[in-house]
Amino acid sequence: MSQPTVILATASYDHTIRFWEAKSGRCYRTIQYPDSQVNRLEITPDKHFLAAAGNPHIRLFDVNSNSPQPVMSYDSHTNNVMAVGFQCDGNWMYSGSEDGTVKIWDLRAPGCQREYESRAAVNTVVLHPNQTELISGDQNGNIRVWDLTANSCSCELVPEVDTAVRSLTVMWDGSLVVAANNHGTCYVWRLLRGTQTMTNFEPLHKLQAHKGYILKCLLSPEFCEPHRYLATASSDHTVKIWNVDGFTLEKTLIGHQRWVWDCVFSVDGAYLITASSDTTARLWSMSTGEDIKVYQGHHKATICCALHDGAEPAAS
Amino acid sequence: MDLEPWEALDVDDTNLSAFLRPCNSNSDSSSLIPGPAGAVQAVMRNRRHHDPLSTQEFLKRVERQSDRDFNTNPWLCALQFVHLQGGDDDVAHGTPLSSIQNNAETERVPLIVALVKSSTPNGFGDITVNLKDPTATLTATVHRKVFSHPDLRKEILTVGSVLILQKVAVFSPNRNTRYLNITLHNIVKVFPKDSGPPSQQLTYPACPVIRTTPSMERHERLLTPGSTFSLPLERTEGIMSNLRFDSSFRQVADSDRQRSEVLASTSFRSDNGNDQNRETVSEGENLSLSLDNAGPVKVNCGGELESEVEDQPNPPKLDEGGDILARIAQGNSSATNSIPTSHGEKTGMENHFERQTQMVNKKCSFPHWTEEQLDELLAFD
Repeated sequence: MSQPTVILATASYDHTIRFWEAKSGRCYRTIQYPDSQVNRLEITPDKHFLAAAGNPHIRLFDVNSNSPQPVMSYDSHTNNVMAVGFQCDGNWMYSGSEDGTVKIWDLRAPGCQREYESRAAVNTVVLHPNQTELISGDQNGNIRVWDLTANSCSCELVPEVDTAVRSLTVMWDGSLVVAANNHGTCYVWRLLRGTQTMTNFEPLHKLQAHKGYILKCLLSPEFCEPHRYLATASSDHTVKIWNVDGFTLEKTLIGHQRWVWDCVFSVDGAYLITASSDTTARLWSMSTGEDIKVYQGHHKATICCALHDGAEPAAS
Repeated sequence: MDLEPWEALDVDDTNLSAFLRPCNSNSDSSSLIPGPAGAVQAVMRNRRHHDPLSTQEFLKRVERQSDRDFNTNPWLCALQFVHLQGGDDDVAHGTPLSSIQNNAETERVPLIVALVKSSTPNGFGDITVNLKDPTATLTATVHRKVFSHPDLRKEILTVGSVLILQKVAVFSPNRNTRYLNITLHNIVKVFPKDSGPPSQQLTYPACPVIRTTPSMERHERLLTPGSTFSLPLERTEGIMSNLRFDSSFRQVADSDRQRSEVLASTSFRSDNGNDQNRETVSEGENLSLSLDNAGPVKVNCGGELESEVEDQPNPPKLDEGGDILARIAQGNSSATNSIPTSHGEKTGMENHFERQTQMVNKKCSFPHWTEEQLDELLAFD
């Protein structure tokens, strides 16, 4: 099997992971994940593996194989793993779990290499583009910045006490951080580089994006020009596209029949993939706001999606 | 003229007998053809008997005798296990599933031996199984907490395994439907699909050995700190917990074998259980009460304690301890004054134990979604 240039995968509460041809909408591979539901999907920067975060395992599947067996399993979390991601060169992986911990795993060696205790269920974790800071959001409403060089928590924010932080996103250049919660509110901070190399958070904006839950918020990638966008996926069945210069509403993507749980931009920001509990994933054109393709095949709520259509990083 | 090659194959019947021997078609000792065709063959043979059974009756008999589900190692091991626990021949199979299906009054079944025919997760962590015994097939639900026990993984409860269950609740949503609700306390033993033959399983010694150990067991239990305040029910539950744990191991050391036998015996012999509970209560009492008065007094005190617990969900133990000490100092040994305090102490301990158990066993399967989010996710179930 030749390595696809575009890898699109979705996971559902029917305990399956599906791979799709982005253009035709055909499902060309289905992996059974019987142990639990899959909470998060992520593709490695080199496009070789797909990470599936469940309860409590993180399993890596070979993208270029038809084997239903994972090639690696990371098993020291004790509860749902709600966040997973990779360092830009793919050397290590980070994860956040409802067991209250954020962990870093060396992909080349077994076992967890590093662990940070958050004292509350972690719902979301993102890696700062500087590759030295992790930002986590938990069920109690705390946002913490973990300094990986100092191995400590360098900053703590609480936008709303006892309101769970559902999703976090950071701008590709590290200039903004956005946190979204179950009340439909997005909090935006500007990140400033301090004199002691610690990142300082300056409150910038409070955006009442939706009336219901915001299940995912995502800032547009590096090659999205000329504007920078924030996508918010909501329980009101829509995804709203906001211009981060002034936070005006650019578009409302309407088409899903139920909640929208996840979204991901294409590398150039021209397209958006969304996952919904109407059992489908959809491909949207950012220029027109129309859905171009519907990926149908799951039998239950589609919870997460992963897309990698960029180039692999050059080998160092 | 030489014969053509094909003409050489022209053999008369008279010459054929020189090469072939007639088979013994009248022999009854011939085995049946394997598989479903064997049943047809058996019917054909039946018709040649002088007094043949009707075909339908004969087929039913053949089907019962050749049901492969009940010739498996797990099933035979289970029967041996039940028999060795002192079960009579009449109850070797436990309560027939057909009697559960036909009896509308059944609420709890004392003993069931059944084979798992199908196993389906329901998405919440529970498993729906179809259980089969020689009389019928019945649907059951295995509660998710069963799988929190380290020796009862989902990999064990697969198609082909055999369960020994006790005191199983029967759920009947309407007159024609019955289900079994299987919880952790119901499972006595599980024989996995890949169990070895019965002869390789551990065998138990004769009954007289069992009778000599109950007194030692009680003696050991009394030496445990705090045993004075233990409830008979709590002891019974403890015994059952130990039984579940011990019965999961196929290889048991000699010193542990006797203990396992005692525990197993207790679970199946209600008379011994009753005697043991009564003796335990008597030995645990610090007060001189006659047996005739013990029951009514406890019932009344229990009612009072329940209301107390409702008023104070977390009664302070230190105060209760102080009260006990004060009463001892005052020399007040009245039964009506002492028993409530003792029972209160037991209730507090039970609550503490329950909380610990919940903390240990709690394992959320789904993320920390709100009810609204979960309803959205599970809308397709």
